[in-house]
Amino acid sequence: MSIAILHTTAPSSNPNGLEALDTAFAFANIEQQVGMFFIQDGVYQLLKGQQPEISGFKNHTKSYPALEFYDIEDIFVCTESLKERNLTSENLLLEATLMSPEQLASYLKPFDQVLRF
Amino acid sequence: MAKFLILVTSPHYDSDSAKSSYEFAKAAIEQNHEVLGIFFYQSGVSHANQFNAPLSDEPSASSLWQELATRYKVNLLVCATAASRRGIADKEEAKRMTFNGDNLSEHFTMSGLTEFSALSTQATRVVQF
Repeated sequence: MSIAILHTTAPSSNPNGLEALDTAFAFANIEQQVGMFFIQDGVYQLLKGQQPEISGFKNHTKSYPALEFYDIEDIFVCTESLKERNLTSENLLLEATLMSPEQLASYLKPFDQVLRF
Repeated sequence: MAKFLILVTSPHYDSDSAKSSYEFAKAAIEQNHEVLGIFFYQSGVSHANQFNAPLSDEPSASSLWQELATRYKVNLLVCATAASRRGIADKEEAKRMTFNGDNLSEHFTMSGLTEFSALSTQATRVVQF
């Protein structure tokens, strides 16, 4: 079984990033194939050097590198969303596959289930 | 025939998720599909708060869930971690935390993402509200 997790919101304004990660880890723990898609404001989740601790928030972005240990290697980022926000792959804290919205759509298609955060 | 698992991540009053997911589950069952359960996560855990008391001329999400559980025997599962974060406690949790009372509605069961992911593997469709 394969599951796609869509990140669509920025960190620090809501707990979506953290609760999406928990979901991804739960699925990986029972050996399901997990794909992560970062689109729209979701690309902000992967910005390097975030320090939400300053504002008293938990820094869940520290857990993104742990995806590798859970064998979650399908990590896709929307190039269009990056461009709209004046960001490049240089700004991202982990290795991800950059894709156009069209490519993302075709990569999303084979997943059995999709959850949106 | 499909096997549906319903995920509710939006809150009970500030969204139409109760009505939509109730109607969806009811329609699925009436058409002989199976509903493996309704799983409440993120802000969706607010649906399980027994203290929800809308005004008398407003629709009540709680009564929809009670009907779904009693009439259609649908499992209502709540993520315990998400619930703790948002002030929903069953008897056990309330005792552990020495709260003055518990507030998990009848027919709702504390569960977790492990159960949700396991149920997902049995489902042919997961629908999020």
